[in-house]
Amino acid sequence: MDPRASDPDAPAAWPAMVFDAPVLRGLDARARREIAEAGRLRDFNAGATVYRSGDEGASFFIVASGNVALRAVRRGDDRESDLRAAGPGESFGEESTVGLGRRATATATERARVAEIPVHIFRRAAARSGKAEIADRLERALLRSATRDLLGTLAFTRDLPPRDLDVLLDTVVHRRVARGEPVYRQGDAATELFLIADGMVQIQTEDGDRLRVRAYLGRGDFFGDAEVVERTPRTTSAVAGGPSVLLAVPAKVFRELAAAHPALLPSLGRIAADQQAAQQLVVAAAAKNATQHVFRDLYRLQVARSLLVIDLESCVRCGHCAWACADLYGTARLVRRGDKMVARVDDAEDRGGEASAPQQLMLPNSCQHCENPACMVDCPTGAIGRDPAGEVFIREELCTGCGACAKACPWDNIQMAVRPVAALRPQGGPGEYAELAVKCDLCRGYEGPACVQACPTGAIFRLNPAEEIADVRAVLRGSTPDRAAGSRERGPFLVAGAAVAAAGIGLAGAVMQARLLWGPGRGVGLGAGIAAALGMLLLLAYAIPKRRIRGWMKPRAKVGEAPAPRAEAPVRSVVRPQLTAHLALGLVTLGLALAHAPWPPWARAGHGGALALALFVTSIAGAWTALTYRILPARLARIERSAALPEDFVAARRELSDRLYRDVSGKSDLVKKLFERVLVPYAKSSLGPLALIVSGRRLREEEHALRARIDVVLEGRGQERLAGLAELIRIVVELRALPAQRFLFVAMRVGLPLHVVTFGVATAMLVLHVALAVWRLAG
Amino acid sequence: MSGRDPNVTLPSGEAPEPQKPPAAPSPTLYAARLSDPRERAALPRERHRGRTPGLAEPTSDITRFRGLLAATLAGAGGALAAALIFPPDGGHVSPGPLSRPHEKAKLECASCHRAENEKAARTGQNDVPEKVCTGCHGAHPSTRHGHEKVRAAGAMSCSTCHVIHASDQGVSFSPSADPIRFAPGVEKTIGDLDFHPAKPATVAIPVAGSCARCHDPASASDPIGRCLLAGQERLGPARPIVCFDEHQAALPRDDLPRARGRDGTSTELGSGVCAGQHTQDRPVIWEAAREAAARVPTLERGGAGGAPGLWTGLGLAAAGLAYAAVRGAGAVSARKKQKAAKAPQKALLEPAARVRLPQINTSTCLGCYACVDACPYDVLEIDRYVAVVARPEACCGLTLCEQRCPNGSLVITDGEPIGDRPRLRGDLESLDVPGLYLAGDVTGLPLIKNAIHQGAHAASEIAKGLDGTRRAGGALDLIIIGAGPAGISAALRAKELGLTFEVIEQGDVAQSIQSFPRGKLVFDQPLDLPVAGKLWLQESTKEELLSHWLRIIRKEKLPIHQDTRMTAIERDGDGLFRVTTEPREGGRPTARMARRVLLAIGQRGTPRRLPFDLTPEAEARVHYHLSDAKSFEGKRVVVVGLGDVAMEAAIALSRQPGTTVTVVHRAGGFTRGKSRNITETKRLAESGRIQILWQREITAIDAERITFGGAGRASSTLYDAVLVLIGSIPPERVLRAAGVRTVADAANPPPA
Repeated sequence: MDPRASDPDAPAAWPAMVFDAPVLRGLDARARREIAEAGRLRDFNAGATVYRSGDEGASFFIVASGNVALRAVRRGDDRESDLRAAGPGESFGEESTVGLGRRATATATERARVAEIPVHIFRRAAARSGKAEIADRLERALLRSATRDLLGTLAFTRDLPPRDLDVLLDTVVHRRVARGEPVYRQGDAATELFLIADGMVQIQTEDGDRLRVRAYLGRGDFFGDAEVVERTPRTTSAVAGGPSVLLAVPAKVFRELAAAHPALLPSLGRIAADQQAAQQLVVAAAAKNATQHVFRDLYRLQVARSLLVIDLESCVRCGHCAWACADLYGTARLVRRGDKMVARVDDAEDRGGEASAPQQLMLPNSCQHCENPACMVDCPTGAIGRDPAGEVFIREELCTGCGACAKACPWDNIQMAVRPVAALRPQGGPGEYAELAVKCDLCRGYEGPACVQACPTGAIFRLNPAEEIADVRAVLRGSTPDRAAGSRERGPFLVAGAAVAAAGIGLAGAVMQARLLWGPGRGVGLGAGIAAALGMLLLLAYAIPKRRIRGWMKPRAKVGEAPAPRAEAPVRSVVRPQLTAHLALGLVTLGLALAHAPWPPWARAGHGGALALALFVTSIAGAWTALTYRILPARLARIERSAALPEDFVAARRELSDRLYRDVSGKSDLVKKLFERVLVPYAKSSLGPLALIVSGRRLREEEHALRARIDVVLEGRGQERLAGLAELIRIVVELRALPAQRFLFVAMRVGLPLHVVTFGVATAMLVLHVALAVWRLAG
Repeated sequence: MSGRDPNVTLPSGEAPEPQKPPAAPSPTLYAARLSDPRERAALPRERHRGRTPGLAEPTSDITRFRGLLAATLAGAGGALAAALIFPPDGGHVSPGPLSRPHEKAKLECASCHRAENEKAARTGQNDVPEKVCTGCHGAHPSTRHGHEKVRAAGAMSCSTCHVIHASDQGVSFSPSADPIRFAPGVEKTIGDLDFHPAKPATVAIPVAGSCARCHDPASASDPIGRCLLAGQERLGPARPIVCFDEHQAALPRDDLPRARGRDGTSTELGSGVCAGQHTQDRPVIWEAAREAAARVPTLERGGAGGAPGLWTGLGLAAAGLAYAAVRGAGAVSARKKQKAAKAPQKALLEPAARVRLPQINTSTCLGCYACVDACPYDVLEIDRYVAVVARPEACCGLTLCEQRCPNGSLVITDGEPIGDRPRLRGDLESLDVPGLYLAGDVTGLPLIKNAIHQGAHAASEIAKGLDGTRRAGGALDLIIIGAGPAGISAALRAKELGLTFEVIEQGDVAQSIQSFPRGKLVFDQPLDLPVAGKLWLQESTKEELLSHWLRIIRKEKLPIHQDTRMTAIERDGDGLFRVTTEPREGGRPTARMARRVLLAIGQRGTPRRLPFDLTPEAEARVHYHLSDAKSFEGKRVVVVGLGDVAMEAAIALSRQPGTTVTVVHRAGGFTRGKSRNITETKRLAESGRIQILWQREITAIDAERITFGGAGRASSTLYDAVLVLIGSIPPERVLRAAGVRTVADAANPPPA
């Protein structure tokens, strides 16, 4: 944006043309002065941009001189086209009065002078100018003007002649709906047709236990036309996926329009059908093989700019991400618990921009930095801010801890925590502000988020789902820049090479030692011993800095007040290559240890034997951990319906068995009998979970297998009395999967503590061994 | 909306005609199961006011490594300490233990490792110089030709074959004891070899491994093959060498002088410490040694790794202890904290004595909705960015809002005393009727959580009062009237304390909660109130809470008599209560005797009925609560009343496909209720999903039609079900009948 072009101290310099504009006409002198004081006059050269489509805006503009053109991408087009031009005395950018971001790009076509007026200042000035009807009229004028621009971009209205547009303008009503709020329900009378100015609406039906989404509609779409034309009650429900602004067209007006333009209805039908077919193509294909696919909450993926996801097939559930966050900030702003989805994420690097195979992704509770943050809107003190890069953050010094943001976030990504003593707090007021809202701010002060950098397997990464998840992008029809997501290339070569080297060194050492050609205290054997000792020190060096996040997180350079923008390259895990090196080094060290002392080294008395013993024990624990990290996550992901923390298992089990017994009531006798004879024994079988792990089936495959077993029992009888059986099967399969999950979890989590403790013992023995060896050699 | 056509005979032409919706207009893109709470949670859904902001709690991700650092340090320290306290045989610096003869000779490190000798060792030469050994043993090097050559070249010394700390093996014979086979650090008595020389004798038995530098024991052509015993091939380098004539011929020379001692300088064979053994019967002893080597070919040090195992084990044990200590301390302090948080229980046992209302400082109020969301009764609202008390009459007097206010702008102030609450002692016993206790909503203290808490408290107090007193024959310890939250909680506690008791319930268990609309979120209190035992579930739906309770009741086998109405409570002279009950459907009354009675009858009392008698056919179609809107699918339902309960029922019914909902209300508009319900009801009425008949009353119901009157008009319609939701008769009558007086009564006794 340009710096101020005019002197703010000279409001009188505002040309009369501005206040003669229809939206400002009738204001008294005081209101004019207020507006002129708070607003500013700006000059633009020909071709200069006033604002761009998608920018945030809390002000509108009036052209004093010159000409400004508005261009926008109309719904259904793929390029910008002219919307209208604003000449002297005309206003533009009024969509801010409806609370919308800029819907068009405004460019000066010739040298122009423009007055920018903040909306809230205008409202206050107009309200104070005495007459309520003036304020009302002005507001209406603004709204009308905003609506006209909106209608110009909508598929529904773009081809209507101006006269009909005027009719529409007079009759449409703005309606705001909150997330989850129904616009109408199945069976309601069809009294209006709706145009979506902003947000997302899903068309759905409910039959008994199932909710079926029929269509996802976004900005610029329309819905509710069929029932208006047919004069029937609503056949579907329309529910806002996110806070939306709708334009409601009364049924009568719409019918008149349709009568006047016979081509309108077929064209509308065509648009809707095309859209439906396109969505069907993408969504249904994505849904075919996934029970948890990305479209469960499309709005979430639409608004998220930086969504934290964990690839469950490589996540080893170690919790380093949450732990790193807690270490850095005192409270973890990330809870590794959340919804699971199956999606294809772009991986430009590996596959030349093509989408990868579907991944099982988990969405942990961590701020996703919405395009239009509900928390920011709800904060009563303005403590939540967003910087130009889109990072949403909380200002401690303004946060009162009232919890409004935590309640506003639809995904529970903000939590309340006890305010640390050292933290800033609001000044004044009778309270002590004991609480503080905490949420992810992408580690604003640092080069990259700690969770991503600390992940030992590179499983956690941030992405912009609307751009990087192929299916979502296709449905939203957004742009398709090829940006690389977190890298997930496998790097086992180093480790494999190290294993070969270790085996070679160890074997050679064992042979030479057995032949008494090498001895621990001389020549090559001694050298191997020294190298192994150094290796152990390096292995130790992996563990300690990893736990000192604050030590290695790189702070971001500052430009004035705000942090400098980040580099475009995606943030990678810092720990992951270190872990690979650690594994390779561990193997080589083991080989060196074998070369240093004869096999079996622990058969000897004394510190040498003790060191060898401890080293081998710790190696076994480490190798176990590495192996489980490699093998088990994928197995675990197969049998998880949502990713849980180990402390949730008890509650999950109780909840599932409650649901099971609740669901079985009211079912047919056949189902009850099957429940007793097959399902309960299946769920209670103690070896069942193990069988599930061994079989390697997904939950869904297991359900099919169980169903097949039941069909064998039934021999084709009583198929008509099996209503509700599928749900029971689902629950028992999950009940069986729970202990299996727990087992895998424990298997993955038990190795590391043992490894750490035994390595501690080994280090102590190393110190003793080296000290005595040095002492002995030194005489 | 009042402009709706007054002709209400349904279904009529103009009234909206809900029909079965036509087939789905388009194929399904995505289907979600609503019964799965996780899928439900992921769907876009309305978020109602009254939620609690989530508290950040450390998950196992963060706590799982707690204590690990201490454990690691303790493990390292423990292992080090163990190594220092329990050194290996021969001390830390020793390369290993000595074998029996050297051990018995009490050799020390310095005996062999003298400074001038160490130089050689340090230069990488592992073999100790010969003179170290010849000092005691005398010089009698190998007499074999090959060995002599190598020795002359300096590549062989005593310790080349007799590797002192590693493979210095042999066998000792004694005139009296059994032979002993030995190796460094290990000895084994050979019991079945009956050989006793005249004098003690020791024969060294080197191992093949020591010769491996030059010889290949596996080769048939190698001369060493003659010194090996057959059948021991698999021992490899540990194979014993049994040529004992290495250093001399079978028979010794006779003319040698005796040696002088350990540090003697004699260089003749047969001198030194072993001189005494070089006797004539050596060939016999060698034969015995060969036998010993055959019987005990190799010696494993039994304690091989003993010291390393001990140190590592102790280190790990120390680590385990430290880990347990840190974790245990953490758990103890967490429990302490929890206990401290439970401290303010007292305040929540007793209802407020005065009307308490929030007072809001409008100049500091932020308008943050914290108080609005904390209030379970929608007392507060936000108006122009500031909280205001919108429905003072509904205020429960608890300080939930005050506690949630972030900056202290809202304080609860005491007002008028409340008169119409029963007079109670602190232990919930009635002041008027000793032995009669009250708990739950009936005391004037609202909320399920408090009821649970009060019930348990009352039961404990009753048990305390009964403790030690005589149990009257045939009388129960306790009768609990009402099986709601307070009653169940009291029953659980009574069972725990071993009282004999029964529970009387006029309807079903937890009827008031069952009558919540399906799927309603039972309030999750926004504060860390004392969690009252196992009955409480955090933010659960009504179904979840109910099934949880029913499971507990089943499991604990609580004696609950459902469908049994209590008709009278009398107290006889002995202080025993006679509780008379009868089945709900009418029948013979039953009397029960009990020493204590707990009234947990709630506030809802018995639902208020229609003011006229119904025929049995009509009665079957009249309901007094809505438990499951789904069961009315496709029915024509008339709802009587427009309070919160009625509105919620009407809303739930209107969402059922094909259900026609008509609401009958006496007044001409909305008079009370939560704003959320009013807004939704209005919306539904506008869209035609609910028809509201203002200023009407039901005058008659027969099996087919229902007739409305009022406002000077009469009309009738067909119906399938009537829901009468016009409030309930408060429980005051029961209280009064039992002799419980209210605070106001006691202050101003009504004229007799």
